[in-house]
Formats: sequence, C-alpha cells, structure tokens
Amino acid sequence: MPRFGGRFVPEPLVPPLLEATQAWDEDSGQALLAECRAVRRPSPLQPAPGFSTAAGGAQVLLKREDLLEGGAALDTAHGHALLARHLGRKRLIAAGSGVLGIAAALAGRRVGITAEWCVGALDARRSAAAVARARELGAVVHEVNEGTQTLKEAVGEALRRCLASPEDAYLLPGAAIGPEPCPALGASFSEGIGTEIARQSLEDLGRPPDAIVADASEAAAVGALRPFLQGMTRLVVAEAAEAAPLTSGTEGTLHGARTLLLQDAEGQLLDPHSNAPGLDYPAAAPELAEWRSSGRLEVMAVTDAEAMDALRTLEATEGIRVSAEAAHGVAAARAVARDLGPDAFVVVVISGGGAS
Amino acid sequence: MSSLKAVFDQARRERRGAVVAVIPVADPDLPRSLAYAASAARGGADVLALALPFSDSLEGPELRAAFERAGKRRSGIDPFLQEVPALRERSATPLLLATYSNPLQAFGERRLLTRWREAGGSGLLVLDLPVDASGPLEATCREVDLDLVQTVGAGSGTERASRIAAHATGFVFARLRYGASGRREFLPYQARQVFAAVRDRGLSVATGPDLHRPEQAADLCRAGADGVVLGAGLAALLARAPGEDEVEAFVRAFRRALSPD
Repeated sequence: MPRFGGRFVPEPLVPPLLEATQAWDEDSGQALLAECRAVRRPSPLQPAPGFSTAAGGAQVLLKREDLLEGGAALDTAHGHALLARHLGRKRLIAAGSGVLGIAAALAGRRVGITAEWCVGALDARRSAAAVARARELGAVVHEVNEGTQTLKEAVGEALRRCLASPEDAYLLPGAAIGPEPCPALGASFSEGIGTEIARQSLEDLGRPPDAIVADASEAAAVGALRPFLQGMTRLVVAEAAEAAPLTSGTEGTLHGARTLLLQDAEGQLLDPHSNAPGLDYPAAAPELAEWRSSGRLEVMAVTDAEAMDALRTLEATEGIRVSAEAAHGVAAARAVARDLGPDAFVVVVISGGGAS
Repeated sequence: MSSLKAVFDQARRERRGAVVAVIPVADPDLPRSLAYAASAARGGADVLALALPFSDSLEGPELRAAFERAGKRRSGIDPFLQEVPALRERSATPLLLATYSNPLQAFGERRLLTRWREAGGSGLLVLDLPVDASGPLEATCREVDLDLVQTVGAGSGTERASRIAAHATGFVFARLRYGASGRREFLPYQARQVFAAVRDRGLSVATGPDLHRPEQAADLCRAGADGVVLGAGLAALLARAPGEDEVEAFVRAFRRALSPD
C-alpha cells in the first residue's frame, strides 16, 4: 500500500469514487484523456532574458499557462468534467483558488454540467474578479464563512456537498488533493503541460530543462513534473513559507488522503497563512509528498515578501504580472537559477490565468 | 458478547428502536459534556457515542459548531480518557468512541484504543474510514476487545453492505441524509435493501446522524431501522447550554417515540 493517498472518506462517498476509479481504469479513461488533450490549447515557453539577468544565473523560461483563461486548471477541470458527464453526474463541485472557479465554469459550460465553486469567503474577497467572472460564466458560487474562510474550509464544504448528494455530485479539487482517484486524475489531466514543456525544450533549446519549478497550488504542479520523473531534470515545488506541509508537515489524513499535514500533536489541523489563496492550505498533494519523501522532489518554502519581490522584479524586467501563487514559483525559480549558473536553463510554470 | 450488540438485541426483544446519543466531547467543556452524557443515559440512550472534536469534520453544521466550541477549550484526549471511568461509574450504558482518522492516528491507534478499553469503552466508530482501509484497525480492535462499528450508505449496494457488515462488530451505522422540512421520513428502497444485507449478517442497523425530531426517528424505525443515531438535534440543543434535565428529557422523547404504544 502506498504511504500517501488513499480514500479516507465517509462511506457514502466511496461508491461514487470507486465508480470513477473503475471508469478511469477502463478504456473510457484513455478516451477521456485523449478528448481532454485534444482540446488543450498549447501555451508558449517564453524566455525571460531581463529577469534572468536580474536573477544572475541560469536562463529562466516562463511556461505561460496564465495566458489562457482558466490557465492550467482548465485541463484539470475539463478532464474531470468529461468524466463526470461520462458517469452521469449532474453537478461539478469545485474547490480551489480563483483560477479553478473560472476553469470549472468554462469546463462545465463546454461539457454541459452545472459548475459549483466552493470558495472561502476570505478568498472570495481576495479573488473578487475571479468570482465575478465565474458567475458570469454560469458557475454557482458557494462562499464558505467558516474557520479561516480559505481553501481548507472550501474543500471541506465541497466534500460535504458531495456527501449530501453522492449520486449526482462530482468532486473537482483544483490541486492534486482529495480522496483517490481525484489526485491522480487531476495530475493526469494536466500532464499535457509537462509533455508540452518537454517538446518545447527540445525544439527551442535542444535538450530537457535543467530544472522545472512549479508552485503547489494546482494539480498542474504534479502534471508538469511527472514526465520528467525518470530523467535528470531537477524538480522543484514552491510552497508558502507559512503554509508549508511539504517542508514542515507530519503524516496524517485530511480530506480523504493520507499525506503531509500541518497539525498539532492531537491531529487538529493548524491554520496556515499565505497571501496566495491557492497555497493557503495545510496539506500537501499526496504525490508530491511521495516524491518529497523519496528525495526526488526539492521543495522551497517562499515567504510572502520573497514572492512579492519576485513578482515585482518580473513585472519590471519583463512587463509580466503573475498571480500571487505563481510569484512563489518565480521566486523559487530565481533561487534555482542562481544555484545552477549561466549555462543552465530553468522552466517555471506560471499558474493562474484570466481574472484569477 | 459485545455490549453494543447486546443492547440492540435487547431493544429488539422489547420491540423498540434503540437510541445512540452522540455527545461531542468537551462541548462546552469536558466535565459538562460528560455530565450531558450521563443525562442522555438517564433519558434512556442505549449507547453513548462520545465524539472527539476534529477541526475538519465533514459532519453537518450542528456537530461542526459543537466541535468548534470544544476545540476552543483544547481539553485534549488525555484528560478525556482520564474522566471516562467516572462516567462509567455513573452509567452502565455502553460507550462508543466516534472520531475521524487523523486524531486517532496522531494519538496513536493502539495507544488510544487500549486506553479507551481500559477506561470502560465498548466500541469505536471512525467516520472517515471505509471498510476497504479498516483491516489493521479491525485487528487492533479484536486484540483489545473493542467493537468496530462500520458505516453503510444508501448507495453501498447489497454486496458491499454485506461485506461491510462482515467486518463490523456491535452494530452498523447507516449514514443517510434526511430532509429537514418537517415532512415524514421514509427509507428509500435502496436503503432498505442495504439494511436487509446487514441484518443477514446478524447485526442491527442504526441510522442518522441528522435527526432533529422524535417523529423522524419513529418513521425511520417503522420503515426498517433498528435504531437511530441522534446527532444533529442533540448538538443543536447543546449549543443552547441546556440544563442536564433538558438533555435527559430530549433523549427520553426519542426513546418514547421508538417504544411500542
């Protein structure tokens, strides 16, 4: 049995999850994946010479998922929506940061399923433009007023809504979290980003990147890195310094999965803090926890101040403004670039997208 | 014989439904929550389900609010376990520990179960642990002589429900959703099939936890449940800081509704 992951949920949620697992494992899974990949719009791998010079090390390239409305989360949301429709579910219950709300709304429209987006009330205020855009696209937005009113409460609410009507609700987490098969599905649906990086790197630079950096906020953090697991590329994930389960978490179970958590000695979850809503969560994606434990994954804990500085530097040198989540990845990429030196190149996945 | 199974068998002999009263531990504080448990026992509860607070419970709003109130006190599991024998002295009603996986794992499964048994506990219900992952816990429960109450849902289907019951001891918790509209409750055909599959394995079925009114409980037992898990309604009452006699009366009303006329 793998150390991380699992399906630790109340029994009424189990049969629908088993049904999803079965559909995914059968031929329909491959067909859905093919359909998901077929509609993916490639994003550019854009050199950032000014930022690279300012960083003072390797060449940094930006994987511009943020140029697409719904960003990298669109692949995740679209794949899940296709599977939900295949299973005959009527409601897509999304839980994630701003970009996921938009992505879920877009995917729901395309597939013909109602998208509902659970978002912490604080995050709804922090991502007001995304909330407005998701509503405009037809999503039903559930603001969650409990606890810290952030992602942890939103995921809990999404699970409760699925628990209340397991026969027609389908859980869509924005990150590769939640009970099986959600994390693996989210990562698989977004793995197209990783294969695209591999192809673009070969075409543009003649070799795989020396390092790939992603922030931990989306399933794409797993999907972008997965194709490089077997190679020599350094794999780096950035998390928020005050919400850093991969850096300082201990093993436990939250929202259906065994993973690394920020918790006290009696298993109560701690309230993390990050200015980036998508990183403001006390649990790691199980697959990232697995890679971290095996030593394959490097993790960098980035402070809000470091992220903000990276964001400003990127804006000043390249004229590109990124999301608060992506700024954590950019800060980590700058550190990796300095470490690698001038002959190397580093790809950083720019998460977010649209009004997020 | 399992004391949990015994109380359900006794209720069946008395041709009535059993009442499992859920008491959130440490709401509003540890001594008062245990006093409420004793009151529920005086009111006729057949089982006291002492629910450990969890910061990220997936229960309904009433129980979540109770856990939040309890969480603010941060009483801790150790002090709770130390107080259980005193409750045991006041009441012979079997005690079930209801928890989520994470507090159980953090405290240490074996350590918690051993101490719970020594303190006078009869069984364990882990709300987010489906049968597919409960193997190691079953073994520990057997070793320390605790019942492991498993959960079924309306969608479990008869085959899976039968497997769940085969891995359960004491009774089986049917986690179903009920309307709060004041209409009569009924059990969907699917749920009745699941209940039958559990009973074929020789165990009783108690359903809940979102019940508020005795009539709901009566409807559900008439429709085929062997008992009810009284969670939301009791937690809503506890939110008003009631007197112990109010808790006793509240549980007694359910007990009466489930008894033959």
